Amino acid sequence: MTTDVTTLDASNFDSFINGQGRVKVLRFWATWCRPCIALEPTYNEVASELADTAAFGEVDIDKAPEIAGAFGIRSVPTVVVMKDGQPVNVVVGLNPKAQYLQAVKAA
Amino acid sequence: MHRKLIILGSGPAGYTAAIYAARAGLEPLLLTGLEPGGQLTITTDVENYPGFADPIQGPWLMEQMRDQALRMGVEVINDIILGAQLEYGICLTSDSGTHYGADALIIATGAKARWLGLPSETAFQRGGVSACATCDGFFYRGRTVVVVGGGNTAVEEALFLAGIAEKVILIHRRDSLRAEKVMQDRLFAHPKIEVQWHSEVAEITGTDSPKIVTGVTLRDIRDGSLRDLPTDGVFVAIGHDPATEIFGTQLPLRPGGTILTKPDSTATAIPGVFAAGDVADDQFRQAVTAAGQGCMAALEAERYLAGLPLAVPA
Repeated sequence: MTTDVTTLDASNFDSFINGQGRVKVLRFWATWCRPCIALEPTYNEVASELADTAAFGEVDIDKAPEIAGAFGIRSVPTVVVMKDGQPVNVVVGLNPKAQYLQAVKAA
Repeated sequence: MHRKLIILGSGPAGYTAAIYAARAGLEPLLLTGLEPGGQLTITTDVENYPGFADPIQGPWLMEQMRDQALRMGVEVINDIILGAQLEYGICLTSDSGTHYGADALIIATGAKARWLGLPSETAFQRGGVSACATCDGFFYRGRTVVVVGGGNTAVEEALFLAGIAEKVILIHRRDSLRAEKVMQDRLFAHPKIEVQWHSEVAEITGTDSPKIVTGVTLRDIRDGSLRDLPTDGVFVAIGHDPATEIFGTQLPLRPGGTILTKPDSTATAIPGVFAAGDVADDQFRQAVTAAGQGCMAALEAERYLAGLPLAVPA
């Protein structure tokens, strides 16, 4: 299955955020965080279903701690929905898919 | 889709039920729920599950259980049940939109972390309040954190966080802990951990924009006096609530919220519906007792599906 989620770090983050489309979605995660791993397939499904609505990315907080720091992330998994460069919805923890779909659609 | 037996939950109770049911030829379907692997996936060392001389990791143990179930031919689907109708035919609706029907059901949905219930706790959920030390401990390197609670989970979280944070303060309402003695000994011997006895969290305080925790207000249980304690993070470990909300009022519960089962049995008030593990256990709540109850549930479901009486006369 091709993924609609871009792996982000310091090298490509700005171009992703400034890229095409008004709505960007970020999943902050870590390899040692089990709920993060449990969320991954759900997030990928949301990304596939809403590929026309938003651009989806993911940030490994070990590889890009400066991005996590800039967003004030203190808990993983956290999904941040951004519109026109500003965070508009934040979903913390592991939640059912419907909650992520709603957070993106509401942006 | 319809199956003879559906098992809800993927902790030790669910996987053990699935392994036994598969070996009995019941071709069970296991629906993992929101957290595949259950509570053990956010723990670290497991030292009290028999069969392993050296400490094992909770997530590893659950991977082994899942792989064992898969090897037995269990069908495992990652889906979350949002609604259940149990009488006059079992019918389940899910997050994926699939409808599941079954002749028999084993409920092994476990329990969810309990929160303090303070408005400030919700307000700071993004900025320093957590119920998962293995997830969020990372953010507290060199900082001060408090852990609220006095059971095994609280002590485990405090010990885990002491490996990361500069200082860990355990906050407990009583003057003694409920945790296992071996865990208490490790806690009291740890130079980075201190305990605030007779105390409960009255309020979580912090900055407004962004919402970041800077402290807690503690209330002394004995005289009601309040005092402030600076901290960067608050880890809540005050116990778990059985995950029964999808069943509404269909199943009678015990006063503590666990599903009422018949004595020495996993049978609930509804024929063909069984409950095992933390969702039905208000006494033991261990991985090994959950596994044992999962085994019981599968054996009882097998008898039910064969039209046999559940209890074997002594």
